[in-house]
Amino acid sequence: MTSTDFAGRVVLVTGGASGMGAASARRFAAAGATVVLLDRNADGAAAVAAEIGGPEPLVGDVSDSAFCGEAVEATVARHGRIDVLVNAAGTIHRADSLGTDDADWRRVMGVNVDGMFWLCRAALPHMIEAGRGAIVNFGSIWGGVGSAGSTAYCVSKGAVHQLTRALALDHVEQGIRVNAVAPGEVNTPMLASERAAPPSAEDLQALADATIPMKRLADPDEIAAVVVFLASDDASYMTGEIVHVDAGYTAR
Amino acid sequence: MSERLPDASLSSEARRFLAGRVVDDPVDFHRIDAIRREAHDGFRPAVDRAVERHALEWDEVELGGVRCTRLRSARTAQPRGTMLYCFGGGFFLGDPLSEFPVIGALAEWAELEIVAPWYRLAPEHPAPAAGNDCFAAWTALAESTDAALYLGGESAGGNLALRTAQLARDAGGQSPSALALLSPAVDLRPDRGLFGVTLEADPTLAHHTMESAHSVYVAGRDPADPSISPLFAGMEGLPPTFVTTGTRDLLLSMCLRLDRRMRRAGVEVETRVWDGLWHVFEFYDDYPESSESLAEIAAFLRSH
Repeated sequence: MTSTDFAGRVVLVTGGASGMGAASARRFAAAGATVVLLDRNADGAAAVAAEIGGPEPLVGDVSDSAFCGEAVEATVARHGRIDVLVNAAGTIHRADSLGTDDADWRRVMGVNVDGMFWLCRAALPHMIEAGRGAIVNFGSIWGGVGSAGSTAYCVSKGAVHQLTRALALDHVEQGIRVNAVAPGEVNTPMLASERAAPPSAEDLQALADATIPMKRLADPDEIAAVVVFLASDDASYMTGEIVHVDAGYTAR
Repeated sequence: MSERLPDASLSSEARRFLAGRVVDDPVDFHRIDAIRREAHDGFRPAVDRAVERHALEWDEVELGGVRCTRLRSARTAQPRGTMLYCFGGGFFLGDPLSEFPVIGALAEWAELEIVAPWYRLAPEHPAPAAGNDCFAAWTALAESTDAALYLGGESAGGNLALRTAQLARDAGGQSPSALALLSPAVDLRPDRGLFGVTLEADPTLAHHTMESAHSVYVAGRDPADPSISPLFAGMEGLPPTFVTTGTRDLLLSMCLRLDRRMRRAGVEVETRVWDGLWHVFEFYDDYPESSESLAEIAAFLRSH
């Protein structure tokens, strides 16, 4: 099997309605997988599912532990298995600690950390039974280095990186690989979210010029390519790894 | 083992059967024609008894390009429906005629016409040839009749029957009213320690024999692919299912995992684990437990 062959495999992608989740879903579908989308955005998920010829999406909030358990059970009941779990659902709060109230903190931690944990915990028994499985988590450059003005987000992504390493070691003997991508600045709806005004093309170029060695934002598909690789048998010797896909951002 | 365990719940006939043991050797596929002939001849006396016991009449039909044996009991004036039944034999052995002790009982007691496909065997025809044949026969059967339809199979045939039900569901065509699976071999992954507590307990089937048979059927494909191990396909939306196994069945573990997966997917499944009995004990007509189990399966089919 090569990275381009996911025939007969079932891939659950959270945050699959847009951005890097949707881009990953498209690549997995093109590689022959049955791709189950999970997102709280029902219309967006339905549109992506229709585009890739996938089954009915699972609609709900990943910060809800019960929903995550039900979503995994429904996936196995309908499709028999979960070969790959991609935790792409994420959110951001653009503020320092003084601008982060309890609800802001809980929302960011709930989606980015709790939800990822609930889904991994629900999917692992099925992967253990199958004797194999791959989990790909979405970390961030800001999970490894700090950044001003997004305290909760930085903390949450640091937790994602450690969750990835801990799970990888817990389940390495059961044939399960757990890795993370740590994207840099990617042109997605989240990049534009929580800003005073939608950033213009000039704004985004200025951001890239100021912060990114390649001086451009990533296309979501450039991250999805690495996600699919990490989930594939081509990455059979990789687990517990945080793969930065950041155009040199953290190389400095 | 029979000396150490009392097996008090077994009939004296079943206890005598236990005295015989199988040798745990891989199948010698160089002798495949002789092995098939010897098996067929060995089952012949039981087949003849079944013909008499259940007043069987049969002919041959072709469904979806697949030769099938069509069977009914002369005691059933008007069958309630038709059951497609997939014979067992590790995907390399067996034929519909050798199944008469099982399908003859179901024909009479469930009042069904039975159609049994002569699906292609490994190693000459590895996966998915057998599954394709069974699904082709099912599709043609469903198009040919408005009668109630059922699906069943034992061991390797249980795998094929379950897969056929999954494919029928996915295709949106006619699904069976119920599914009967006798010791179904639904998980063909090798070397996973999946035989659990019944390893070396089954008087009819041994580990290396079974894995050598599965390996020529899988033939290098992914054994966890749902077309090969239907345990790993979705169970949601499958019809009511009756599973039989025994505490000596080499495949007890996978039968119980199938039961759990079906329950979790909301399928109405009943699984009978027979104390002290072995892999497809219903196949051997020499003890009363087999008749009792077949009567239960028939009652389940009649009620759906």
